[in-house]
This record gives sequence, structure tokens and C-alpha cells, in this order.
Amino acid sequence: LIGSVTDKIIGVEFCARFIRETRTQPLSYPIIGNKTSIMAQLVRIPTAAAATKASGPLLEQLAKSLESEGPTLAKRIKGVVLFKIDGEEWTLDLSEDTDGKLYKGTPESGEKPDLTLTMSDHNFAQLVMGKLNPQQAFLMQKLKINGSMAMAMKLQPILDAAQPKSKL
Amino acid sequence: MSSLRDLVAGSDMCTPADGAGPSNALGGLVNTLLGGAGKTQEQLRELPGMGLGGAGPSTFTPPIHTPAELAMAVPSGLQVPGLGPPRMDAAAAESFLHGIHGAPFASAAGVSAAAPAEWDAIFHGKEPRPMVPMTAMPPAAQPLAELMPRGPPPLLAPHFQAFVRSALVPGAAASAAGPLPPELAAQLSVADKVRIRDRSTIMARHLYADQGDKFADMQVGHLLASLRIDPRELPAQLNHVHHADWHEAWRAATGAPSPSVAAELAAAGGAAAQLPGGPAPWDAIWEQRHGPAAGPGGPVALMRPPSTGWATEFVAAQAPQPPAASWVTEFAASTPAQPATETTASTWAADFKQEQDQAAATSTATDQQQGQQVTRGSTDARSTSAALAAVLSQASDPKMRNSKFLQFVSKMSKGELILEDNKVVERRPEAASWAAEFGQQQQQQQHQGTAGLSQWAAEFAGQHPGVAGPGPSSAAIGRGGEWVEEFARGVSDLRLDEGLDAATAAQLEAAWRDGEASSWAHEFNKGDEQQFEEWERMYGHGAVEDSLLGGGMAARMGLGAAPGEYVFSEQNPFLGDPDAQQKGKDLFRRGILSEAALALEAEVRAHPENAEAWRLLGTAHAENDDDRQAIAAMMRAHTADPRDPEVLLALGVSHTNELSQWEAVRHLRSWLAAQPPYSALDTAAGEAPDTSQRLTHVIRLFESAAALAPSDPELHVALGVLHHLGRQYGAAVAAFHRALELRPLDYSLWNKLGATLANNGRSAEALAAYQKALDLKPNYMRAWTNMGISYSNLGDYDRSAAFYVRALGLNAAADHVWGYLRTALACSGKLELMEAVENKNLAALQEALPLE
Repeated sequence: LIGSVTDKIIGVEFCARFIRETRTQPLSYPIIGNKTSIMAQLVRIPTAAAATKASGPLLEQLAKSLESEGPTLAKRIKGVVLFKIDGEEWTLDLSEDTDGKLYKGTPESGEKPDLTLTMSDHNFAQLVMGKLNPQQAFLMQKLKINGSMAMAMKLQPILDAAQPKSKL
Repeated sequence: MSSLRDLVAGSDMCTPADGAGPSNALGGLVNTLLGGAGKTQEQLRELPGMGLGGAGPSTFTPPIHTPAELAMAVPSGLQVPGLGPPRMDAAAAESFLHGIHGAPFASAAGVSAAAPAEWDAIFHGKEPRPMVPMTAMPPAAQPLAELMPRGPPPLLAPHFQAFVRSALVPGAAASAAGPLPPELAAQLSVADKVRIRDRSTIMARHLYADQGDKFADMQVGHLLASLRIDPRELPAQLNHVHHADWHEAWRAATGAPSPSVAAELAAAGGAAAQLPGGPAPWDAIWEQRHGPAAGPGGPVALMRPPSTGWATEFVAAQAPQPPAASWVTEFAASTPAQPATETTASTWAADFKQEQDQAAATSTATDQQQGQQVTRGSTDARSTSAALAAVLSQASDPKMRNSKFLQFVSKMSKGELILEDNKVVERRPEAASWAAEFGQQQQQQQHQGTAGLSQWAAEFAGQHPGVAGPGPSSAAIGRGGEWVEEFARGVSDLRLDEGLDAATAAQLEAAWRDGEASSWAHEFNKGDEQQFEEWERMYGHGAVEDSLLGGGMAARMGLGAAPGEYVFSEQNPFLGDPDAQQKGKDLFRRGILSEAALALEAEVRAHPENAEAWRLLGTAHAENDDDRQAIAAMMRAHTADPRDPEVLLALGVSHTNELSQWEAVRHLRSWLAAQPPYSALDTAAGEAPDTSQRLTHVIRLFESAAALAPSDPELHVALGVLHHLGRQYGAAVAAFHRALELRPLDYSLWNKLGATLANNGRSAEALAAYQKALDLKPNYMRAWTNMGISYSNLGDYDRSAAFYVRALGLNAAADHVWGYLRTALACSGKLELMEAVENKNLAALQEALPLE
């Protein structure tokens, strides 16, 4: 009934096709069962980004940490950091006197980020987990830095905030 | 000035001074002053002039006139053609300084008169050396020495000395020893004069730095006047003239060179403007005179002094080469390297290739997309491509272009961007994509606003009463009506400009009027209430999910879930089973958490008011390391019974894990208030003075409660959780220890203790605690995950990955643990297993990462 479940919502396809198909086919199947599967498929569509990258849960953890640590980080960093992880862009807005925000894409206000970090997903994971430290990464060209070097020096607390936390 | 900068920072043009690093003349000076190098010491002792100043270099007073000494050192660090090794220079310079400084200033005249004589003796004493030894005398005398080895440096010396002394000795008048006799003045070639002028200008600028350029120039003027040099006659810069001079010097020092060389030199001198050709013969000559020089980069470049004109040109010619050469060699070295190694060239190439590929891929993807849209034939496509073009043309940097391109395209594919009046506007994904796709599926766009859809919704509602349904479904119908209203409301929220055209609306109407469709609607109404809820949630509220993280975590949850809503799983075999709750409890006790969750889901679907089932469901999810679902389930239990302490405590814990401080505190406080012994305390404590102190206020409240009832384990657990929230890990650990004393067989307590230790960095102790928890409950998925995290913290990424795999074996739906597994594999370097992770091939992973 429904085509491949891709990473976009297929609600409309389902809706339209359902209409079309009900007009042409007899309704002999138990609706509930099918609807369940349809609904369920609507319900459990993972977004592509998080499912296939190591950086997904790390960035989520960072986002969560912002709730508690955001203001402190913002006081230290006072700027906007753009992460380009395997092409995906995530903006960490730690402007002064804000609570900190993390979202996908380039900075909302359209301004240039103060610091842009480009690295692979693999290396981002290593950076966060402490396997690789930022200076080493930079020297080994695993991490490309554009923008404020001073801010790049203060990267460590951000990386620490992205580490997975043990759950009570 | 550049020379000063060169001095301080080291100039590539200078030869290495002894032991002071490659080019730090100042360092060389310091070295010599402090007697750093042995050879210098030796030479110093050799010099007869040392007696004048008294003690050796170690008793030198710290330089009073640093600029002067710098100026002294500058030439001493430089290698002027025809000069000996710098060691000599430094020593000589130092001695000269000594001669100046050591003597009392008042009697400068007498002493300095002696000094030059001494120096002459030294010079001529050293004459037998093949090269004219450098005189550390007024550096301006050097060119003379080199050019006229048999010339009269002594005669010129006093002039230079006076020049320098006037700077060194404060207040001393620049008393020249009378103007130079004309015949000597005539011997100074133009080149010499220019050199004298330039070098003395430099020196003067240094010496008279505090008095300004004009004063310095005046002093230079005095000097030149005394030497009968008319500055106005001199060319501003010398170019090829120096070549000839150098040639002269060469000839004077070593006799006539071979005619071919001379011819070469002459030719080179004449064609000095062509720099690449020029230095080559000089290189040869230089090498012959001084032996092959081993310097970084070009063989000779570093040994040439940056004197005026010729030298500057030469510098300009040579300077780019060493860095260029090194770059070239680096690049050449790196290009044959394997792609796997991380060399600059290969990574650059790889990156570039990657970007090209991405660009190609996205451009093809866009082409396809564009193609699709064009076949759909709507104005949509045109405006889309117009927008695309606009975006692309605005971006100038290719990398930026690619990334914006990617963004744009990905947004388009997700339907986040829709067009409104030919402008690209971003919409929130869910609603927008539904709308956009729906619109696109039609072949035409008309601006009908939301009327079309609302009509449809209204019609559906209208159809309802017409459909006679059996009794039980009347309630369902009622709900359906509500849903429709909500839907209509939600739809109008979407602010669609491209609505349905008449044809589409007609189609839909026809669909509704059609018997089949209405019976579909009827059947739909008969459906489970849960379905409606989901439907309502997704489409009625216009549930919007930004890609905004931070406030509400949305990205990974699947587009269907609003935060805080429970998400039922598909394919539930327990559905319709009347015994689901009991089965769920059994499964839970046996530790089969995922199945237990399914059974309990079936139960709550059938009986949504069953608080106990919701609670157990929440607990199961928490133990399966899914706090989001746990919170959702617990909230349902909470609504059923707001004072259930277990629920409140569980909510506090889960919110703590999600780092939602305020929620956690709120729930824990409610927990306290719900316990009869403590409710009085709670009301007495009142509110915190302000929000930032909320946590501490509540902690104090709990501590007072604990003082009241020290044997209540749950109280200590709650206190531990609060301390953990406030990151007071020491206090939290203590609280959990107290709770464990009272309740040693509580596996979740051991996990809490372990997690607190781990978050405090005590990962090794945490492992012991987790092990205890697992001993008590072997299928405790959360503990397995936490162990993985702790091993990662300790750096044992292999074992960490193995633990994650084990955890995933218990709950394969935990997306974040898949992510942690990737992280561990990335850190341990086991990239070959990434494919298995992509395919979620647990069997292969378990085989590859066994747990002993």
C-alpha cells in the first residue's frame, strides 16, 4: 500500500493514495489492522541524520546539556559556532547573555558564525570522547578551523558537554 | 623598522650567530655578553683591547644604551661579503662596546682615541687571513674595509666613531675630527658613498630612535659632510652598481679572477635587472670563496646581507624561493603517498574530490527533482528553479555554494521549503511537507487559500451525521467530529497559499460522496480511539517539529511524536489480549523488558485509564534506557493518580536524566508533599526566594526531612537525585550509599550510584556498582549501556562497543545506543564494523565483539 519509507513524512502520500485506492479497490481488508501499520509507519520514521551518524546522539546530548550549562557556556564563548560534520551543518549559538541554542543549519540570523569547525563524523566522535584533542586534530588536519582562533581554544567545554552521560 | 624587527625576531638573511639560534643577532649579542659560547670567550681573551675595560665580559654592566648596542649587533650579526665568520664579529663588536662603555664617559675622547688605534692593530694584525677580517668598528667602516683593504680605514674611523659616540655618549657633541682630506674623499666610490649613507642612516635611526628621524638624518648629514659626501649627488638606490663593486672587491682580494669569470661577472653586472640570472654567478663565486654553504632553502640566499639596492633586489628574488622550495618538496613528498595516510595533499585532494562528488550528486539529485517537478508541470517548478538559481548566483565561494546547495536541496526534498508567491519560504517540516506534497501532486496550483481544505474537513464533518453507525461508535463519531474541527483549525494554521484547485476539491468531494469513501470514513470512525488520538496529534494540532534542539528534543524522535506524547509501537502481538497486563508483569519480572513493554502497551490501549499499567510501562522504558517514553508513560499514570509516589519519583529521575532541571525538581517536590510525614514540612518551606535558588531550597527541604526520618530509603534516593541534578556528586554518592544500606538489593539503586560515580569521573568505581546491579538483574539494559559509557570514559573503546552491542541485544530500538556504538567504533578504529552497524546486523556485531 505504501511505498518505501523514506526519511520524509509520507503522510500526504498515504492520504492521497488512500483516497485513490479506496475508490478503486474493494474494502475487504480489516481496516484497523492496516491503519495500524500505516499509522505506525508514520509514527516511526527516523530522521536520516541521527540514525546514521555517530554525531547524532552526541549533538543531542549537547542540546540537552545546554538547558543546564547553556548560560555558563555562553558567558565563556560569547559567539556563534558552526559545526560542519560530514557536510551537515549545526549551529551552536552561544552569544553573550543568551541561554545557548543548538540547531541544524547555518545561523538563523544569517550572520557569519564566529567560528566554523569542519571535520568528519568520525573525528567529531573522537574529539568528543577525548580520544583526540582539538590541538592534535588541528595539527593533523583532521579539524579545519575558520574564524576566531581564540574561540577555538575554548572548545573543550563544548565537547565535554556533548559526551554521553550515564543515566540514573 | 625592518632591520630592528629582523634583529629581534631573527632574520633569514643573517647567518647563524654562534649558539644563539639561526638568526637571532640579539641573541648572539646576549650570548656573547654573557659569555655563552666558548669560542667567543677565547677570542675575547685574545683581544688586547680587553685590558682597557678591565674585567671580562661577565662584568659588563647591563647595556645602558640598548639601541646603540642593537645597532652594534646588527652589523655583527650580518654577514657582509668579504667578512669573516660572525663569531669574530660578535667578539669584536663586544670588545668595541667594551671599549666605549668601560671607559668613563668623561674621558671618552682620550680613550676612544686609543681604541681605534688598538683596533687598527687588531685589524692589521689579522691581515694575513685571506679575507679582510671584519672590523667591529663603526659598522659604516666595513664597506671601506672590504672595498679598500689597503685603504685608510683608520682615517675614516674617527668620523664613524664620532658619529656613533655622539649617540652612545649622552650629550657628547658630534665632534668630527675635521673634514676628510679631499683625496681620500675622492677614493670613495659612489657605491661606497651610498652605502655609507644608507647604513649610517639606519644606524642613526636606531641610535636616535627617541629623538626622531629628523635628528637622525641631521646626524647623518654631519657625518656625510665630514666625509665630504654630498648626499644630493647620490642616487637613491643602487642596483647593478654593487655587482661591479663586489667584482672589484673580489679582484682586489684574490687577484684577477679568470677572464671567463670576469666576463661573466661583467655581463651579470650589466644585466643585473634580470635577477634570476644575476645571482647565479655570484652564487658560484660565493661558494668558491666560502665553500659550499649549507643553509635551508637556497644555498646562498641566507648568507647575503640585506644591504641596499642590490641586496634588496636579491633578497626579493631569493626570499620567495625557500618557502616555495620547501612547499614544493613537501608537496612532492606527499603526493606519492598512499591515500590512506593523512598527508596534506591527499587529504586536500580527498576533500576536494568529496566536495566535487557531493556537488555532482546534489546537482544530479536536483536535476532529478527539477525534472520531477517539471513533469508535474506546475508553476511550483519554475519558481523553485528560479529560487535555486537565485540562491546559487548569490553564493560566490564554491564551498559555500555547495553547502547552501545541499541545504536547500535537502530542505526541498523534505518539503521544508515551499513557495509562496514565488518566494522561497521555509516551513515547518511536517505540516509543510504534507501540504506541499499534496499540492504538488495536483497538476495545478491555484491560490485558493485554506478554504479548500477546510471545506473538505467541513464536508467530512457534514458527512458524519449522515452515516448511521452502531451504538458503540457514536462516541467514536463524536470524537471524529472533534477531530475534524481540530483538523480544520490546524489546517488553517498552515497558511497555505497554494491550496486545492477546483478540480482537486471536486475530486475530494466526489470521494466523500462516493459510497466507498463514506464507508471508509465510517470504518475509520469505528477505529480504535488510540488511532484518533494519534491522528489528532499529528494532523489536528498541526504538530510542528522544528529542527530546534535544546528546548525540546525533536530531531531523533520521528516526525510523528510531539514531545511528551507516548508513542505506541507497531506490530503489537499482544493487542486484543485480555490478559495483557498480567503477561506484561510476568515478562517484566523475568527481565524481558521490550516484550513486557509491548504487552503493557496493549493493555493501556485497551484500558487507557489503567494507571498501574502506565506506571509499569514507564518503568520498563526507563530500564530500557528510553527516558522519553518513560516520561510520556509516567505522565499518563500521573494524570490518573497525581499522588502516586512511585510515579513522581520515577518522573524526577527521568527528568534528571534528560537534564530538565525544573521538571525534576517540581516532581520531586510533589513527591515529598505527597508523603504524609513530610507534607507539613513542604508547606512550611514554601517557595524558593528566586528561581536560581530553587534547587538549593528544595535540597535543604529534603535534608530537613531526612533529619526527621533517616531510615526512609526513598527519601535518600530522592535526595541523591537532587544532588546529582545540582552536580554535587559527592553528596549524591553519600545519599545513595545511605539508601543502599537500607535497601541493598535494589538493582536500580546500584545503577543510580554507578551513574553518579561515572558522571563524577570515577568510572572505575562506577563499573563495580553497575556490576552489582547486573548481578541482581542480568537483563538490565540501562546498566549495560552505562557500563559501555564508563568503558568509553576509561578509554577502552573495544570493550565499550561490546557492551553497547549487548545492550542493543536487549533493546534494539534504542537509537542513541546505536549512535554510541558508532562513536566507540570510531574511537577504537574498528571501522570495518561500521557496515554492520549501518545494517543493524546485531548477529555479526555480537560475533565480532564478544563479551567474555
